[in-house]
Amino acid sequence: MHRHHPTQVPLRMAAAVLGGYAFTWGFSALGIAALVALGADFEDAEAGTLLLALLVFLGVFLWAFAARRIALVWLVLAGGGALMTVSAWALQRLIV
Amino acid sequence: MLQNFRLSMTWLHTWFGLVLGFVLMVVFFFGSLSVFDREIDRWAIPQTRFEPQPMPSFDTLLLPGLRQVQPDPDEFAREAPRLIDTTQAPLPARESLEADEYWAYTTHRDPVLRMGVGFKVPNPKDPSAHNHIHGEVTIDPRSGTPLRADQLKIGSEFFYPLHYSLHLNWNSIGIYIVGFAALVMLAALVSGVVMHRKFFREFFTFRPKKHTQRSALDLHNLTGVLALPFHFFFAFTGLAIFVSFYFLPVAHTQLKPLHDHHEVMEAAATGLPHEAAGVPAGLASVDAMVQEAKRRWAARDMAGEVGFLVVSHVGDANSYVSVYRAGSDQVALVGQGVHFKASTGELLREDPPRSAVGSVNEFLTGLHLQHFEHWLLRWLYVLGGLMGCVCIASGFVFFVEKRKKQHARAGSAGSRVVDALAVTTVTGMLIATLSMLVANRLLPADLAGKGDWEQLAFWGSWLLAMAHAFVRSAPVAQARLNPAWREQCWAIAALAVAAVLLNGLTTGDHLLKTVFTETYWAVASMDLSLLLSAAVASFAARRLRARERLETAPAPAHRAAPGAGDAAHA
Amino acid sequence: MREALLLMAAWAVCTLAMAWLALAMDAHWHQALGRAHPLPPARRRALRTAGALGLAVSLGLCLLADHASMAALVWVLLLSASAASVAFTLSWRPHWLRALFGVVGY
Repeated sequence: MHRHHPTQVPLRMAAAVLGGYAFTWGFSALGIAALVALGADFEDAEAGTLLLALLVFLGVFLWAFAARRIALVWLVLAGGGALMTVSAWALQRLIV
Repeated sequence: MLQNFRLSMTWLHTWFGLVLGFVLMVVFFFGSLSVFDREIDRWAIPQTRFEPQPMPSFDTLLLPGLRQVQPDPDEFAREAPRLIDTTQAPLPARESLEADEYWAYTTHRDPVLRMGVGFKVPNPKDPSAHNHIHGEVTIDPRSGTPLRADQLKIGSEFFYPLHYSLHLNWNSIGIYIVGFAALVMLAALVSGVVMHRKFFREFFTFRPKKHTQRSALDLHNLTGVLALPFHFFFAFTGLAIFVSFYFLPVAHTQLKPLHDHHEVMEAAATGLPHEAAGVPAGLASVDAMVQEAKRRWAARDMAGEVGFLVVSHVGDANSYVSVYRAGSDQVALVGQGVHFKASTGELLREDPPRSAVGSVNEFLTGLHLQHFEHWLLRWLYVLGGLMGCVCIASGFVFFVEKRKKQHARAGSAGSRVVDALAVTTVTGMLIATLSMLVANRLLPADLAGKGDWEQLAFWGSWLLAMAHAFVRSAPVAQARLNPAWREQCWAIAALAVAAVLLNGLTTGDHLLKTVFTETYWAVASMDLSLLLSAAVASFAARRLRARERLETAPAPAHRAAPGAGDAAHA
Repeated sequence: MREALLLMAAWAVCTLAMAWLALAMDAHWHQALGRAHPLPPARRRALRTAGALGLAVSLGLCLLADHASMAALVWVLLLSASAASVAFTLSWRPHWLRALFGVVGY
């Protein structure tokens, strides 16, 4: 039915789980920090962002398996996650 | 990954579903039992078989009991060295720790009341951390008599934690495993819908008379699709409950400065002191505070009972008492807190209605944690949970049936191993559960460490069931049925009936009494459910025997080969 | 007591509605009535409409019984329970659904 290189499956799984987690973490941190910067109550920002984050993790997890090119998956998930995490850190320094 | 979206989703569903399916089976089954966890406690601890009580007097009944609670020895041994800075002074004696927090908790389903103390540690390494060591006790609210600590609450203290943590407590690793399994469950639901082209056409389809592979797939699709909202929401809300503390602890790590900044501001805004003052003060009448809280709830048109009560900063001038309403008439959890200054009884704050986000969050977590009083909804939850179990089990059966012929030809043991693991996880798990209940009735009531023996019975019988499943699995390597399925079904039937008989014999609360003469539904429902399980297991055993006989007979005409429609499934 | 009666009614109506929706499908119509009876388009539309209305009535009864947030949960789960009971009836005793014709009229 299909042939793939032996490292492809573990790489996909790592991308989905680790890359997905990194992306979700970045999304959560940036989401909370941005909402607080815009004046939202911290607990509301946390509760709302984390509920969305669960759905984001589900989405990127599925995408990691559906996407044709695994390199793209790593770029978007790990790269995007890192970018969002750093942005959140910078934003927090501005607020507190 | 694979040629197209549908194939990649099929791969994901098959392999992640298979591996995490073993975990999910445990989570769904013990989650279903947990809906009635307190009723199971009643069955397991006969001296608690009386009617649920509202929270009794704090001043005369709870406070004396709380003053007698000691820090838990195991937790002290584990946490004290971790929390206390021993360069200043040696480790203190366990009994010398001072109480910092009192709490008491009751529900409309529980005859007994749980209460406990958070003890503060001297010389903490990190003064801003929580720094509590805990002790707790369960009492009879009519008299204040404590329950013996080694009487295991099989429902709320064994089945329920098994459901969310698998009892793997080293660094909460079990919670993380269950969390990952929940994420995979969500992925399996979405990928399942993608794979299932005849979603609406086969909505009501179940063809039990076809060959096993088709029937198993029909049942898998049916139980997955019909309870899809239930499965999705339970996996999602389960994750939502733990997300902030365990899975995405952003607020406690990267954004801790932002979080702490908010906490200090909130303490100032609410008037509820975050820190102790260091000045001793007495405790006014908590009963009077409870009365006032009830008066205020009634004035807001939501009269109710106390569900949860907390005294913070015990013995200090900054101490305050928080009284929360039991949420038995709504989905959201305990709420509408009213807070009083502990030394004077003066009102400090009445919690305002929640924000929109807060309400959504409370609704979602309350949906899962079920503090509400609604018997039909609870039984429907059990039905949903059991449909989830059937979905997973039929998934295993389909996986094996689809591959066992080609594995038999190739001489591979793959199907055999998966089948044995499936027997272990389905019938083996039931055997473990029932063995624990039987042990509970066989062991003497005053046996020291009775709870530990019961847990040994649970894990030991599960291991035996696994050994049996593997030892009997040779026929699967020849593409036939593993007789362990049928044999374990008979064991289930026998154990379930034994449990009911032993309950009647050892406690005198047999079914005629608990249904008719001195009605007590908690125990009666348990016994009736056990008898129903025995009936289903016997029925299943007989059907399995019939199938086994068919296999050894010459190939009959009605066993059609798998149709083209199944070929798309990986 | 009132709550219990409303909920029983909600469950009964929901099951009836699911049965009508199932019968509006060719495969299940023939399972219940035999291969001889055809399923005319007007009959199919009537069954679907009756089914949809039944589900709505069931929701209404749930809302009369309980607070809205609980009623919503009860109704969604009743949908699953009643669909399952119709599916199993079709698997084992499909001719039991034949009696429902009297209600919709033939």
